[in-house]
Amino acid sequence: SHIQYERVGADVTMKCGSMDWDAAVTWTANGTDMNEPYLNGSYLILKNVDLSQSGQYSCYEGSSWHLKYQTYLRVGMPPKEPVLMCRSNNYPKGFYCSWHLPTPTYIPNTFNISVIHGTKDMVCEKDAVPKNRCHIRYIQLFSTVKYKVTLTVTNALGKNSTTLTFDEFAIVKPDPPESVVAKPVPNNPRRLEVSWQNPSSWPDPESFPLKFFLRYRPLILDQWQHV
Amino acid sequence: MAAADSPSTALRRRDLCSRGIRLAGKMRADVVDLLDAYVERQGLDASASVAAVEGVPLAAVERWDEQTGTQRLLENLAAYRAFRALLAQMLEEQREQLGEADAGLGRALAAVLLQVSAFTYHLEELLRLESRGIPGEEEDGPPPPPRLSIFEQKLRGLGVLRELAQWAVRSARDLRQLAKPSPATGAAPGLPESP
Repeated sequence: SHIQYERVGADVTMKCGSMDWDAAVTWTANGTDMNEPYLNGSYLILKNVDLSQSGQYSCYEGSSWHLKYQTYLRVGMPPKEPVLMCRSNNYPKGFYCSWHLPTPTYIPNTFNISVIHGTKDMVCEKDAVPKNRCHIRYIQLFSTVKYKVTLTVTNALGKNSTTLTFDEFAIVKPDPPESVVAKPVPNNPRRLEVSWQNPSSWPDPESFPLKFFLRYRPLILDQWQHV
Repeated sequence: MAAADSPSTALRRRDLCSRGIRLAGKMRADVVDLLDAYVERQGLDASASVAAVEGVPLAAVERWDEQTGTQRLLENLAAYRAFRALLAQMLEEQREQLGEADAGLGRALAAVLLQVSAFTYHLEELLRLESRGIPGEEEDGPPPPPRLSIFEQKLRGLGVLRELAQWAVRSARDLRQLAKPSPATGAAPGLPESP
């Protein structure tokens, strides 16, 4: 079955297949008859379409009620520049990039990502979940050569892209510490014992140790204190 | 590397590694500061891409986590020996170009050169502990490269400092790997097995 994509605000003209302009036809939108204002001869005219006009449009020959033409109209927008970010929370294993569109397009989009390190193309393996994310394994470490990531988003109405360029170290950002627990100290109401773990996503804390910073405040005060 | 480590050897290795790690950390911080000063004094663009220059050891490495302890030490040693020569050359060029006009930059370069020499010594000591012969420094070495223009000298200097900044990070990680307790057999990470 036929799908037709149109921009919000566009004027859409649908012909009833091979029927002449002066043929007697009936148009329906999602099964409901369409009336005079939308008709110009046997053509269906939709001016300044909006999202609510997405749906199935069908054209029947006047007397025989044969279906002469059918299309699914999807009203949407071309993509705006996507928002892209890359981060290594598992250094030195690799990094991931994730993206989203700042505003919805209301029609299907495909995303294509390319990662280049110097002259080498690298494969960004798409994650099953979430869908807008892919990950790359580092082949080289300690390189001074920058990485260049380009994301292109395409739909039936247009395309757009964005590029990030960065050094290996610049995107390193571990996940937060895990199992953060604050326990009162027996017989000392002015003390707390705080314990925590390295984030489990950080693969080698011995070779790449993490530094932690702790701040605290009594609920009744607004100022933080730093340990 | 057949013999198990004696306790004193293990202790000495740990001691050399932790001093080396601290030295690498300080070196990294000083080189990063020097990079900023160098870019400014030499009138360079900080974001300029510098093509890999012959003779400048690249810090980039594949399969870093699979390297043996000995490989790490040998690669580090070769790199820092090269940096020692390159920095000495940069000092010389800087004196020629700027004379005494920029004593600050010269002092900063000399300070980093000193740290590179100290780190080289650490590496040699660690290699002695591994009962490895220390590769001799080539007396004649490769023929001296053709004389570069002043601009090319500056760009190469930028490349040298950038790679050294990366090497300092890599070295700290290498030493941490080396400092990890040996497996139960007592053999420190030794020569790679042949495939």
